[in-house]
Amino acid sequence: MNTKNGIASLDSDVADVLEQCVDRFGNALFRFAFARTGQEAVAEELVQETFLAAIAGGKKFRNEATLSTWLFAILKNKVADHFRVQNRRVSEQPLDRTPDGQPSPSTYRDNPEALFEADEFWETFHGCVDRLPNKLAEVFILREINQHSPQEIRELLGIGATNLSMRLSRCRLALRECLNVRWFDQSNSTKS
Amino acid sequence: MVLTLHCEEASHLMSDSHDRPLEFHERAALRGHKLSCGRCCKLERDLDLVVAASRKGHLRVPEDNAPDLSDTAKQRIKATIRQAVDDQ
Repeated sequence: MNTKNGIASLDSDVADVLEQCVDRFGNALFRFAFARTGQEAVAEELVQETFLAAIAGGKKFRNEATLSTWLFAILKNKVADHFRVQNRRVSEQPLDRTPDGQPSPSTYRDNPEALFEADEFWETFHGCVDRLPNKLAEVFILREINQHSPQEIRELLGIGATNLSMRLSRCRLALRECLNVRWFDQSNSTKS
Repeated sequence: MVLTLHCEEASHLMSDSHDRPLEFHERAALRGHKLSCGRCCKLERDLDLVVAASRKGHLRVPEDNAPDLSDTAKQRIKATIRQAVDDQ
C-alpha cells in the first residue's frame, strides 16, 4: 500500500489493497453480516457490496486500523439497507390476526428466559420485526441491531429526541401487538 | 403530573426507560399512574419482554457461531473488485 502521512492513495494498487482486505477482514465482515441476516448468500452479497462501495466512495484509505473500521461502517449501512428493503416488502403482507381481529390478553409472562429458549419464538419474533413499518424498522435496526446510542441515532437521522422517543415507543408497541397476535394467542390456543 | 399522566404518556416513559434514565418526576409520575392502572402494569412487563427479546435476539445467529467466508466467495469477491477497479 502506498502511504503518505498515513494515507494510502486509491490508485492502480487499489485492487491489490482491497483483495488483501478480503483475506484479512473478509471473515469478520461475513460473520457480522451472517449473524444479523442468518443467510449465507445474503451475507456474501453484503460483503461484496461493501467492497464495491469502498471502491466507489473512497478516494483515500487511511491507515489499516481505520480501513477495517471504515469497511465495517459501510457494511453496517449495507445491513441496514437490506433490512429496510426486506421490511418494505414484508410489511405489505397482511398480518395474521385472531378470528375476532383483536389481540387478546396473554398468559406467558412469567418466564421469559424459558421463552427465549424456544426457536419457534425467535422465528415469530423476527417475523414481527420484518413486518415493522419502514420508519419504525429504521430505528429498530439502528438501536437494537446495530446497537447505536440514542444520541448517535439522532445524529444519523437528523431527528430530535422527542421524535426518536416516539418512534422507539411505537416500534416496541407494534412488536408487542404482533407477538400477542402471532405467538401468545397461538400458544394459548394450542395449550387449550 | 402524577394525576394527569395518561396511558399513552406512560407507555412512552416505559419505552424511554430502556434508552435513558428517567428523571425523578418522570419516575414518580409513572409509579403514580401504575398504582391505578392495571393495564399499564401489564404493558410495562410486555415492553420489558419486547426490549429484552430485541436485545437478545438482534442476532439471528450468534456471531461466534457464524461460519467464515468461503474460499469460493472470497475468490468471487476479489474478481468482482478487480473488475470494478478496471472499469473505473
